[in-house]
Amino acid sequence: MATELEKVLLQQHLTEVLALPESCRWRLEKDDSVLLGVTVVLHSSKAPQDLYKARLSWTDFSKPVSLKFLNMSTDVDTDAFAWPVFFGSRPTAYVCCVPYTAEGHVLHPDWAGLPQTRYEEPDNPLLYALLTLQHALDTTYEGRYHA
Amino acid sequence: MNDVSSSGGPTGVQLRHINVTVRYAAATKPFVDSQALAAESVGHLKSRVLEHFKLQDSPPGEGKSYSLALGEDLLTNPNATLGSLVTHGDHLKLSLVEQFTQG
Repeated sequence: MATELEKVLLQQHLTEVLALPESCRWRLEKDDSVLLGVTVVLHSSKAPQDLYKARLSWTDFSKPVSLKFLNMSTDVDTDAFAWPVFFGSRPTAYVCCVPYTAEGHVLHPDWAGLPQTRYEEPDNPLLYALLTLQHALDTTYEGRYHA
Repeated sequence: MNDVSSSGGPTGVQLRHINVTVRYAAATKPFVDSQALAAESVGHLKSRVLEHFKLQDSPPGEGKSYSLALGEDLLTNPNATLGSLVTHGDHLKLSLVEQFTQG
């Protein structure tokens, strides 16, 4: 459960991120529908016209981020067509199964104990999640999911 | 993902200094060296960057592994010089990326 301190920290992290030049690529907003999270509209450099809205949220900052892609109109997080196909993404299961996401660690409990996959809390978990996700999209994006 | 494997330019050009910035997603502040030699190799810079961020590179399956990247391109040739990667001016902006597995 997020603490009051973590809610303050999120605001600080958000302010830090918005001050960076990298943030001009993102439409980043605090997400009040969750205790500790943001939404971000982003795209791959391979296809700037393909916009995606992601929710990044945490139970606490010592754990990996939960990553969900949302329907741009309704914000529902169970729309496979709202998902990009890229490294680790499983659009029909609504998860990105990689060591930097909470969903990856739920599916692979052993990852927490392995040196190559365990999560180590970064300085700024929001910045870490954004830059890691953006790099994955820029380098491995294949297109929007379609059935 | 493309590989960048250039191996350097004319020797005289290598004596100049360049301003190197390396962004690592887990650290708020980037690695900065405003006096890096253009002749420095990618492999040597990677060692310095890993030391700066207190990281260790491990063989696949044994621990985390990292690569330097220029934009979307991983720098896979450790012998390439920094000077060969600069396309204009004297700035080189790189990132240190963790190589992930997927489940």
